[in-house]
Amino acid sequence: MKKLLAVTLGMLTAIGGFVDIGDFVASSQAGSRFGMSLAWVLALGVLGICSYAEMAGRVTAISQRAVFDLVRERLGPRVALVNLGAAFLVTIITLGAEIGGVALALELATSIHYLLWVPIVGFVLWLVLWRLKFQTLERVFALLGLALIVFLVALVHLGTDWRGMWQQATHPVPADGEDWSTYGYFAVALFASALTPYEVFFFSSGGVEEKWGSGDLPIMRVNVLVGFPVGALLSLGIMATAATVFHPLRVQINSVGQAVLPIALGLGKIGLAGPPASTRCSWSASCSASWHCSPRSTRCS
Amino acid sequence: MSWRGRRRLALWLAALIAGWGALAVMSGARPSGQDFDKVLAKSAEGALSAVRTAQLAGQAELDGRATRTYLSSVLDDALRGVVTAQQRLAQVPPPDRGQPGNRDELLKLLHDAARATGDLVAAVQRGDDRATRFAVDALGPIGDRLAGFVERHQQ
Repeated sequence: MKKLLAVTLGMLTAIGGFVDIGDFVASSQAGSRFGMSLAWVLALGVLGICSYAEMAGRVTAISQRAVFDLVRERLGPRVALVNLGAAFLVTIITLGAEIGGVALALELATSIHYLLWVPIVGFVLWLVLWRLKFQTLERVFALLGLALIVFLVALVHLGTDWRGMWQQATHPVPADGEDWSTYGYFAVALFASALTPYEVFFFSSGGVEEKWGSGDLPIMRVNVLVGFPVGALLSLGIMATAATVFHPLRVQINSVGQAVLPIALGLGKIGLAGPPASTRCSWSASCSASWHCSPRSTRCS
Repeated sequence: MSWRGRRRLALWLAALIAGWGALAVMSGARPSGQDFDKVLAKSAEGALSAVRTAQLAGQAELDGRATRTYLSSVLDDALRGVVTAQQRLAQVPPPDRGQPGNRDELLKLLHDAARATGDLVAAVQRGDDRATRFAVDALGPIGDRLAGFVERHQQ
């Protein structure tokens, strides 16, 4: 029973934790400009993140050491420094984007300018990070990220042309009025948003903190191989709602508020009730990103 | 410093100055007809996105499908989108003879879009359903005209 609970929680965490503000923005922008013709990139991205996360988890469970520790040992301090620097930089950028994402979502809920929310969000994030254990932090916020399921429900209520969606998804070419360079740019952005380093760190530094052993491998694999693909389904849902509402009207998404509009159109106020869904996914990602920039994470790696 | 070292330094400096010079020439160059067409298309695309979003948001308000707090934020962004398109267009003078006509056509469209979006923002703030419906109805044809303009000027 305890094991089943661990699998379920881990899977739900992976599902909710997969979609951060980067995925949210990239998926909705790609959907509005290219319909579903970039859906293949999400499939490729989830394949990549599953491979890396499973590998990181396996390395940690067998060696009881974080992946970075082994990179330093095998490839030397110079290469390790490049690895550490790049991962740290991307995580810092992710953290900035996530804090901005939370602030923007709070602006949508309160009409108070997002810049006024930034210091408050930063402080609360620091407090949460300082007080909560990694496991609690991971589960509470990633589970809240599951609220993004509203996009899939909204998609059903929007009267989606499923055949048209399938047609777009199976024809990976730029939409009318778009060129290959923009298409390529969005393909790279989508792929990168699916493969953020903090998602892999979850299975590396997190595994060290939770003292994983080889007995934890099956649970970890289920979490990765089921959780991330289902998480990608949420991203696909975000892309599909944008493709349904905005793409036929030639609307390009430039703000978080616009990206949430299909929920209002599909589900009404109930879909927008409480803090917008992006707050939850941003919280989850900002917590994990900041955790990996913190001294607690450094102790593990 | 050895003769070889000085030569290498001189080459680096020359490359740096040449790069800076190329950038300076490029930034000071007058926009070509093609550049201006791109500005036209980009401004029209930005305004089209803003107008259609405002229309959808206005309709959501009429159908009672969104909170006013959320809508005011979306509509403010839409209005900003139209104003940004106006500013972008105003910053680049038309280089060719035939282009002022296109610019004037788009300027008029952007003016109409800004007025209708502004009316919608005010109507939603007042909670005036009649004025909101009027503004939403006005945004439809403006969006169609902008879409037509974008189609004519793309690529």
